[in-house]
Amino acid sequence: MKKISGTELGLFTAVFCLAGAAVLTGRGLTGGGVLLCGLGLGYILQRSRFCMASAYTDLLVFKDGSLFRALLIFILVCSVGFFFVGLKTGREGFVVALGWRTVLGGLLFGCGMVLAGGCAAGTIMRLGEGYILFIPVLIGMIIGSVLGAYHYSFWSGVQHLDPVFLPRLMGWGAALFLQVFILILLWVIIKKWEKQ
Amino acid sequence: MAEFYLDLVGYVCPVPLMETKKKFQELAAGDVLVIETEHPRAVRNIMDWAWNEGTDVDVDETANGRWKIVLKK
Amino acid sequence: MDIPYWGGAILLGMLNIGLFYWSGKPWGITTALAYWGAEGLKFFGFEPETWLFFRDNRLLSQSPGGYDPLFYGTLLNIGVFLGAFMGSVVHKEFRIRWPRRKKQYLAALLGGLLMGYGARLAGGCSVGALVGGTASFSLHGWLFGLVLIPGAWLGFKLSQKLFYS
Repeated sequence: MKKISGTELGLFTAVFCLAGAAVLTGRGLTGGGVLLCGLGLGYILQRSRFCMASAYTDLLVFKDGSLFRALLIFILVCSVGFFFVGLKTGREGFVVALGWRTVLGGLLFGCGMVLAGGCAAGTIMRLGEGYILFIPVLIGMIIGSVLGAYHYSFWSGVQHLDPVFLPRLMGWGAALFLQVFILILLWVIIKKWEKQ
Repeated sequence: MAEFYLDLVGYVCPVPLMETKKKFQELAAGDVLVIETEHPRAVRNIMDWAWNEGTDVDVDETANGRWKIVLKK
Repeated sequence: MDIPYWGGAILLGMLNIGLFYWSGKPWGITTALAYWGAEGLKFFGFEPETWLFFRDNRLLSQSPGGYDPLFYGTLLNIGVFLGAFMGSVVHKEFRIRWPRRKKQYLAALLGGLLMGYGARLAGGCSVGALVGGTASFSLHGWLFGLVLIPGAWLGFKLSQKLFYS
């Protein structure tokens, strides 16, 4: 049997996803675009070695902010885009309540992503790269996520603020301006701090 | 002029760069450190660090998804 | 050929915008995982659909312009998995990668548990809450990104102490 080359296998994967998207669209569902976006996200994540867990550890442990600054660019690009999508469709992205649960959730998540060696997106990406180690991470994430969903009614009773949506607080223009300003400021501060 | 070898196969970030930095400190001028890893991000991580330090660095993919990095002090 | 970090950031950002526009919600990973687990529990006779979390999400998906987290999230995760697979096979980097020590499995499982639970508390993972939340101009994203700093530091110290000493 002839050995399949990597390029052929990659092409096959792309065709498989395109066919999947076509089937979904044929059935009148909108999931086709989502599948292809996912394919692109996974590909770019893999090729650019983007990793949120490393963004934090590189900055904290190695004083290397290059990945963290890229994370800021990622947020900046999304902010500008979400601004236009929001204006055009009136849609809100992920706007949820905040409070102690955000603090505790962030602590647990931050701790977990360094222990696991990758964040949630990184886990899915590394499974695609052939990592055995990230199978238990995925299993842990599913169990943790179900447990979190089970305790959700408890946590939503704990004192918290209602969702704070900046455009409602200060208007769309001011919100975008403020956010872009802070992101650029953070970028500059980290760049300066790295060089010290 | 000695050659040192560091086997980092099977480790994920941030362990590879940490071990590399630790080992590299013990080296004398002119020594060579050979590192092997399977973690794609570790390659970029170690290369970035080496470039920032101005260290002589060379990378070679010895097999699918397996890299050999040579650092010279 | 590798893509630089900043280039990856711009491309990922553009795809995330497209995703928000087409599916109604930005990129998220763990909500779908909670649904996968819930499907598993249903198999064993539990009734997770009565939990507040899934009731809330059902309401959300039935509202106008609704978004089905299980359907979209699953497609998205499959897409990311296949995209990463494609990237690694095309560039001859794919390889079954085994961990070095048995202890690493434990660290991985613990890390996954903490991530899954933390994501449900905060309302998203690093992609869903930090990137998606912040870019959605929600304050919880900023707060989440801030507390990830002490969280990651704690994780680093823990991993040093427990698993790599």
